[in-house]
Amino acid sequence: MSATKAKAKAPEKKRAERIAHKGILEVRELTTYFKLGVGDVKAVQNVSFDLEPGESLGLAGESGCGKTTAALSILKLLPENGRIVSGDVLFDGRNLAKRTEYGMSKIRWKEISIIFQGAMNALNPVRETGKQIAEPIQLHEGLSEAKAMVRVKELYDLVGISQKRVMDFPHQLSGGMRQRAMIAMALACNPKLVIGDEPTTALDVMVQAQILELIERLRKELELSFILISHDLSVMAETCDKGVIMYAGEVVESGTTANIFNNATHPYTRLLIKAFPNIHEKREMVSSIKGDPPNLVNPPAGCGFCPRCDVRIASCETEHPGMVEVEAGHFVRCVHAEKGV
Amino acid sequence: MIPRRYRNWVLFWTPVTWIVLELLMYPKDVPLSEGLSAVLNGFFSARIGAYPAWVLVLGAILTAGLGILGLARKSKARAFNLVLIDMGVVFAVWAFLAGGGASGWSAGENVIGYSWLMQTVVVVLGGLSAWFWATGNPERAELTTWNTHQVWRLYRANWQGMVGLGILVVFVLMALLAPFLTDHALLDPNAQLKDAGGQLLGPYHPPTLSYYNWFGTDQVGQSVLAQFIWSSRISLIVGLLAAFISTVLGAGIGIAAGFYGGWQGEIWMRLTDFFLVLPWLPLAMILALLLGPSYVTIILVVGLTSWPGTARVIRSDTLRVRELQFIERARAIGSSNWHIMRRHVLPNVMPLIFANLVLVVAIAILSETTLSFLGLGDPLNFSWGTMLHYAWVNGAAGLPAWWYIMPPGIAIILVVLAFTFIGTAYDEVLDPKLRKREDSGTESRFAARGATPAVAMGGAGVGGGAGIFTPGRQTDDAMPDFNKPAGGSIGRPESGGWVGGHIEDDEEGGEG
Repeated sequence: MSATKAKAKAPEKKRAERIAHKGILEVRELTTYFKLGVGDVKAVQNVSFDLEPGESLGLAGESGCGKTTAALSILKLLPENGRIVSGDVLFDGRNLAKRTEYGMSKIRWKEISIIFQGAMNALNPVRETGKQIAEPIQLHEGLSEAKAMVRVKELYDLVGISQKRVMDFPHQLSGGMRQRAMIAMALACNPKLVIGDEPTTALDVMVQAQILELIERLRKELELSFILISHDLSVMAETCDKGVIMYAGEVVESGTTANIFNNATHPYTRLLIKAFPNIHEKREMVSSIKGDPPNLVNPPAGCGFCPRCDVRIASCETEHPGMVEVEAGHFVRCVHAEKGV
Repeated sequence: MIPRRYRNWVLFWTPVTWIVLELLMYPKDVPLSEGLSAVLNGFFSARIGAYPAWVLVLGAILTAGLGILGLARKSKARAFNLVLIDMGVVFAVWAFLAGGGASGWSAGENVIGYSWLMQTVVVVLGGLSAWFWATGNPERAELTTWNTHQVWRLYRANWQGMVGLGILVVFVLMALLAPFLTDHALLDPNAQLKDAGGQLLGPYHPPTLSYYNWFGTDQVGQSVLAQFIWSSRISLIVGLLAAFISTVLGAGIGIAAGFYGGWQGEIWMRLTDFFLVLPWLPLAMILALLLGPSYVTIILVVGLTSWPGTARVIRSDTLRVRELQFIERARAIGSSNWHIMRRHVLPNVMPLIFANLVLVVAIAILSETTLSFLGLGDPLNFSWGTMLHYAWVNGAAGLPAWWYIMPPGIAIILVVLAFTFIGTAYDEVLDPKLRKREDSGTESRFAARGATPAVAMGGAGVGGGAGIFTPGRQTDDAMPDFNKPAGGSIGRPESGGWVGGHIEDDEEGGEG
């Protein structure tokens, strides 16, 4: 019995050693499906990226492109009908994709935590905000509520809310303060990696800027690695070292933020950037990308973006392009990039 | 040092608890003429007041056990646990005395025991333990006092709630003070009411201005007023306890059924349906007959048969709550099902539970009335239902002897109405979503404190060193510069922080 267990563990361990020198998080060929009545929704397909300690990475793309699913797959917080089909999530040399629920509960919050989408909904309206932030501390560090509350007050200082508001209910806090509270909750157990799932959505621009600045400051102070999920490219440009653009469950372009913004290669990325007004240049009409993303139950055989692409060629409809490195560390999934190389 | 508000709190509730206990346990057979002197005489007498010995043994085990557990867990409040153990010892001694002592111990014996003295000792120890608890767990105690004050502050702004509370207080006082309002001897089957000249008033004498004849006499010439006042005790106790049992059962089963989907939930729901389709009245009658006529029976019968409605309502609300995002968040954190049910689901369905509790209290009082009216009540203890039963059986309605029917009838209506009012008001208090936002604002506190903002600001400087005071600022939205350490600049002006500002002495005035 133990022998078989050891056997099963051996390759895992080897792989762990092999990647030990690499980044804090390495996602390889991650594929996640959702089971629906009509078939499997292929929400995330072969997504790969990696993250060095202290680095921040932005996952961007339109609604439904799989960026949140990819992040939830890292933490294995998928809904009941979701499952990781294949791929590895290597965190500090451990493969999270193969971990049990129990094993994950030891990782969540203590090492990886998440800032949930929509701070209003992620806070219990009838429980004091401070107490909710104390919950992970009580659970993961076995402290009493009173002791955890002391920690919560420090966290409030850290994220810039008055300590006196710890006993306020969520509705007594403003939107920005609720988001700060969510950030405090994510930081409660000193994680190494924080995933921000659209942390600034539904906030006005001023507060958005404050929250982003806060995240940036905390990241430097606490030496956090950070994954920012956003549909807002400007937010990503401002805060992230690296960027990953997703479309229809796949990574279409990845590289440093500079790569992506200064040398956008994939037509989708280019159109996305065009869709934002540029304040430094002449005013132009902001263009939108026409058409809809493909049905992910039966994804097209060729390039997923092909029907909406303005530079498509005949082979786009049939051939699925692979990732091509156009410059050092800058990968693009496009037939034009393939030809260029 | 001990902040004064804990001390006031303990000093207020200890005597109140003592008085309520004493009044509840006041012996029925002390003639009214002896009044309060009976309390003093009975203080050291071996005969007055009564608890069965097993209740006291249970008390001893519970209190001493809690104390020992607390010590074993190295709780911060050491003194509190020591007092608890002391209390357990007192209970044990009391049980020994009540159980018969030297002549052989008996669990059912309940006449001797120096009860007044013992009760006082226990209540004083209880107050002391509360004090030690408050000083041992300052954060918790502060929260408790804060909650109490907040709830009351919000509650008293609601006129319906205050009217309901007013009605209820009248009836509760009447029930508690029954031994001082009427002689229990008047309920004796042979105690017919006489007028000033010593003449019997006779059956169905209409009301006069003479005190015991305010509500006239019944079919054998006894005082209806005396029956009415003593009945209020049974009616209220049965209603409250039955509703409590029913709500605890219903809420527990409802939350479990709603929270666990799948087969576990189904089992709970089918059980609920089973009890729901059973015809209530025949079931209650059969149970009451089997268990024998006593008011404890009625409590159990009403409590055990009226929960399915609550369970269904609570389940439907739990189904809504469990899909909310913060439940998912709590799971992500790693909270257990038990924790999520207790800390997240329960508070969210609490308003509904309370709204339901109130309905159930009303229903329980009516159920008790129904069962008693049908003659299944406690023949030794009058309730309003029993009164109506005797009135009906003896043809009071035909005469019509309205003075025999109307007092219990109107009392039932008023009490049910009072509970409904209180429920509506409490619903509003308990559901933070129904509150106004400025409840945490600064203006109301200044107004309540009766001080000018400048004074309060000065106080803040002493208390917390909180910095800038911006008049009229309601929220902390305007965050000036969060890259600075957050201590003072966005602190709120009032030093009380989240402690209700209307409390006379905030912590800066703590120990004078």
